[in-house]
Amino acid sequence: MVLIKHIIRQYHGFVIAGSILVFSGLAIFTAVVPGIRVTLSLYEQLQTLTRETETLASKLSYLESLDEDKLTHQLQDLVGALPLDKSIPSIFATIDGLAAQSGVSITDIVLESPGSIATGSAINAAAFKSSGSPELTLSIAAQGTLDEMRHLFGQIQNVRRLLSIKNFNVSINASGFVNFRGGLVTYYRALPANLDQSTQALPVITEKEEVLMGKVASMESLSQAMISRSPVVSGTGKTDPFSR
Amino acid sequence: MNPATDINLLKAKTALSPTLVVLERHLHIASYVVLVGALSASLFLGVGYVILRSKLGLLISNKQKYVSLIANQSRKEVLLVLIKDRLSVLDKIIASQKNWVVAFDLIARVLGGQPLNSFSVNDEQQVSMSITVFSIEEAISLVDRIALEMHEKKLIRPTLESLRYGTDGSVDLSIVFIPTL
Repeated sequence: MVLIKHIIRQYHGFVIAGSILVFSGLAIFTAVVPGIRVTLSLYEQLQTLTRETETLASKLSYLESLDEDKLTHQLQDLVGALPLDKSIPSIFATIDGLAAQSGVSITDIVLESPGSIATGSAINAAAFKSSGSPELTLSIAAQGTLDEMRHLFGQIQNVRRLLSIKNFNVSINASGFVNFRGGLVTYYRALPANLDQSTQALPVITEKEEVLMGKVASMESLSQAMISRSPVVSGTGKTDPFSR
Repeated sequence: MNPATDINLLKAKTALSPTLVVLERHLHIASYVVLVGALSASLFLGVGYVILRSKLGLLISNKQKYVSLIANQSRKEVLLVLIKDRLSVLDKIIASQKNWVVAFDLIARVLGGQPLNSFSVNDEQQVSMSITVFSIEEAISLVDRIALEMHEKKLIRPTLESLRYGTDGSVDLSIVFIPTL
C-alpha cells in the first residue's frame, strides 16, 4: 500500500493524463462514434426524404397544371384506338365503315382464334406481340376495283380502331375487277392490373406523345360508340377513372 | 540520531528522469487535446443531430401535406398513368403500320399501263406480282422500269421468279421485290 501511494505520488502526472486519455477514449468509442453513425444515417434519411418531397412537390404542381376534362377526353380517344377488351363489334363496324367509304364489298371476315369474347382475362403471354399488347388476327375477303382497294388501304391507316395489314393477295380478272384477301391485325389492351400511386415520380406527357395523341384524335372513329368507355381501375381502391 | 524521533521536512526527492518529465508534459498536452476533441465532437454531433432531426420533422410534415394534396388529384393521376400506358403501346403500333398505298403506286409505275394479273404481299413485306405483257420489248421495258425504281431506292431485291414466253408472243412474268415503305 505504501508502495502504491509512493508510485502514485511519484507518477501522479502520468496517472492524471492517462486517466483523461482513457476517459476520452471511452467517450469517443461509446458516444462519439455511434453518434457519427446515427447522424450520418439521419442525414441519409433527410436526403431521401428531400428527394421524395421534391418529387411530390413537382408531381403536385404538374397534376394541378393538368385539365381533368382534357385528360378524360384524351383517354377516351386512346381507348377508341386501343380498346380495353377485344371489342369485336367495333372491329366489324370499322371494317364495314371502311368498306362503305372506299366502295369495296366485303365478302368474308374471319376472326382467327378470338378466344374469350369480353375482357383481357384470357390473354396469355403468346398473345403479346412486338407491339406490347395482345393482338387479334383477321382474315378479310373483299371485291372492288383496284382504285377502291387503293382507297381502302389508304383509309385503314386513318381509322382510330387501329388495324395493320400483315399480308394480302390481290387478283385481277379480265374486266379489271379485283378480288382481295388479306390478313389484318388489330389490338387491344386491358387496364394495368395495379396502378401504383405511391411516391413514384409521375410520368410526364412529352411533346412527342402530345403529337401522337393529336394524331390519334384526328383519326376517324368508325366504331367509338361500340367501345367500352368505362374501365374499372383495380388495385387502387378507385374504380372508374371516367366517373365524376 | 534516533530515527523514531526525527522528522524530515524536506520534499522527497523526485526520482523522475528528465526524459520522463518531458514525456509527462507531452502526455498532459495529448490528454487535454483528446479530451477537448472528444467534447467538441460530442457538442458538434449533438447540435447537428438536433438540427437534422428538426429538418426531418419538417420534411415529414411537408411530405404528408403533399401526399394529402396529391390524393385530391388522384383522378387526374390515374388518367395520366392510363394515358401513358396506352401511348407507349400506340406508338409502337402506329410505327409498325405500313403505308401500302405506296406499294400500289409503285406497282402502277412499274406496270406502266400493262395489265396486272395478280399481286400479293407476304408477312415479310415481300411483293410478288404476276404480269402478262404482249411482246418481249414490253417485258424489257418493264424490267427497265423496275431497275429505275431500284436505282431510286423505291424497292429493293427485285427478283425475276419466272418468265414464260407464249406461242402468241405474250410473256408471263413473275417478279418479286420489297418496296421501301
